[in-house]
Amino acid sequence: MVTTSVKTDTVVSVKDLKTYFYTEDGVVPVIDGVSFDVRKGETLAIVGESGSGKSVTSLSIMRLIPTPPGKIVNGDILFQNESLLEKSDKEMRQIRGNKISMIFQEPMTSLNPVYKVGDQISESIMLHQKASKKEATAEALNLLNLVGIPEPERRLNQYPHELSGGMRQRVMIAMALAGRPDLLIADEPTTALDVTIQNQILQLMKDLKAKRDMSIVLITHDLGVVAEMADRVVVMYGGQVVEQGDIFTIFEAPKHPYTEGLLRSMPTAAKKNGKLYAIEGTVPNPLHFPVGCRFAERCEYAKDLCRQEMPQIQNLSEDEVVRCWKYTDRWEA
Amino acid sequence: MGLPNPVVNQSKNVNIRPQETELRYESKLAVTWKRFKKNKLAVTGLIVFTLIVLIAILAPWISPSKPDVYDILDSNLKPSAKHPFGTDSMGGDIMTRVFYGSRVSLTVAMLTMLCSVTIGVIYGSISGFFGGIIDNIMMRIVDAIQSIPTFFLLLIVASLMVPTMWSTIFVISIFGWTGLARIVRGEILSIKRRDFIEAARATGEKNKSIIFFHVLPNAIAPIVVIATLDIASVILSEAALSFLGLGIQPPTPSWGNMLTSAQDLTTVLDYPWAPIFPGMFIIVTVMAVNFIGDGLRDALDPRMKQ
Repeated sequence: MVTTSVKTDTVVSVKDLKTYFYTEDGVVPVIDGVSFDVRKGETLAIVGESGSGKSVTSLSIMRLIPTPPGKIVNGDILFQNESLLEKSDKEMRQIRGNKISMIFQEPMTSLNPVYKVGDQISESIMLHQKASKKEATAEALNLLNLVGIPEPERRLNQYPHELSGGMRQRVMIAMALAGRPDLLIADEPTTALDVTIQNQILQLMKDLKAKRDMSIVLITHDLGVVAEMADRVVVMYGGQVVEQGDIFTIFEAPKHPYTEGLLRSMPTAAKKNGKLYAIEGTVPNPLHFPVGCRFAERCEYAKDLCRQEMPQIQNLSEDEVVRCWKYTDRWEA
Repeated sequence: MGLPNPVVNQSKNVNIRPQETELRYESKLAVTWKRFKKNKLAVTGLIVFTLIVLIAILAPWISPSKPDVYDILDSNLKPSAKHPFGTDSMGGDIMTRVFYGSRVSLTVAMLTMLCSVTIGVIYGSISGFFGGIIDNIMMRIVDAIQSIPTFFLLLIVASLMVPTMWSTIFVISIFGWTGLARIVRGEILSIKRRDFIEAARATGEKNKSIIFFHVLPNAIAPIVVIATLDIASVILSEAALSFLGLGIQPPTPSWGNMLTSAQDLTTVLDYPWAPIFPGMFIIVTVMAVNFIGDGLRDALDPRMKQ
């Protein structure tokens, strides 16, 4: 197993993680040997289609996999050099929302409809800090200011349904920041928002990352968002990492045919006429993954070798990792 | 929302910041009350219910007579200045007995409702929240209890005990919680799958605070409605038990046993005031409580448009 070398400034290190779901139809290897590091102060984007396992990866880090049916069966997750998998439930609760926070895809439904925004933020403040209700409310006001909500005094007294989607996502971010986390996991934070709001939220996250000196794991299927935000990129396919590298390498010189395909299917202004490129085929059913490379069926370079044997993940350079036969000695043979 | 809010009005002058930067923070209770007040029917219900409660509390001072004073020569008298509600077949003053009866009936109704709501909510929450095998076992127990013809079981249990007010409360509440438990469980099953519950987990909250802070408040509307309907059905159950001699025993008056003693055809036709007054108190109380429940449901749910 080749992984990127653990550096001292690594915040989270995921090592050969396997999260399986035990369903009536059989065992589903949703995450199948995923490794990556998140460094201090960087934004790491996890990219992939629906069903590639990116959300389950983030839930595994939070230890919020619904058990049963899900279970982390192998590997380790180190957070600030301590294994999260060995933590008790109580210790995990101390970490969630405090050291690792998460924001979700659906701002419309991720806030409790019966509480005022102010109450919800101060609740999450009081959960991790010794603060009176009054202090927490004052801090909630600060947070609302920080995330750029206009008229924060008024917003404190409003219910979630009185806010717009973008505003609610800002509130979610404010709640996530309540514990001053070292790591913020954002699971498709802008998917449910319209484009102009999307941009504002991304900009906000960028600013906050710098201000609060945190790392961000950004889960998305939108390469435009990746280009805007990420320092490094992990590309996932069929529960595995197929490529990992810094943003420039991924966009300028993608190695894996899947990454290549993803980039080609991005709409750009230059390609005004003609059809948008799409990768043929669909993601294989995780119940019946092929023996060989999981992308082989859809890959234009695939050879017999690809269908017979699973390629191993390998380092091309210190920062670049790929899982493809093309970059091995056996390709030309 | 349509609430006129001074801060909203200020915000129209975009560049002028509110001069008071002090936090104006309304409590949940204040908001609920504000919304409740807008429902005229609910407010009427509350006023009527408060009056009945006051009558119950002040019964010894405002009654024209004593509940255990009978004058057989004055039996079946029409309503008059001396006996505003008339007298019953034993010569007891009906107004006095209705007033004292409200003490008994309301105490039984409220305490029973409290007991069965407490049991039902806790039981239903545990069952719905933990799901799986726990839920399965707990709900089969409810099935078993519900498949027993409750009233006959009530009779057996009641006959094993000396009938008093407390035994009546006990007997009605031990079987009264199952319906609520089912409804709470159903609500919680659906609420716990909503996104904000997962978001709450992601902020590191405990199961206990997730149940009490996030799940239950979202289920408050059906709980309140069931609880108010419960008051009505308890008043009726108490009447039925009293009728069979296993509830509140005369001479202690309750609305139930007053109705019972006035239920034969002669009384209904010739001395209608005997059943009418206690019956009216039952109807008025039940309606008032139902209106309050309705108003509370709307006031507690911030999504309801006013």
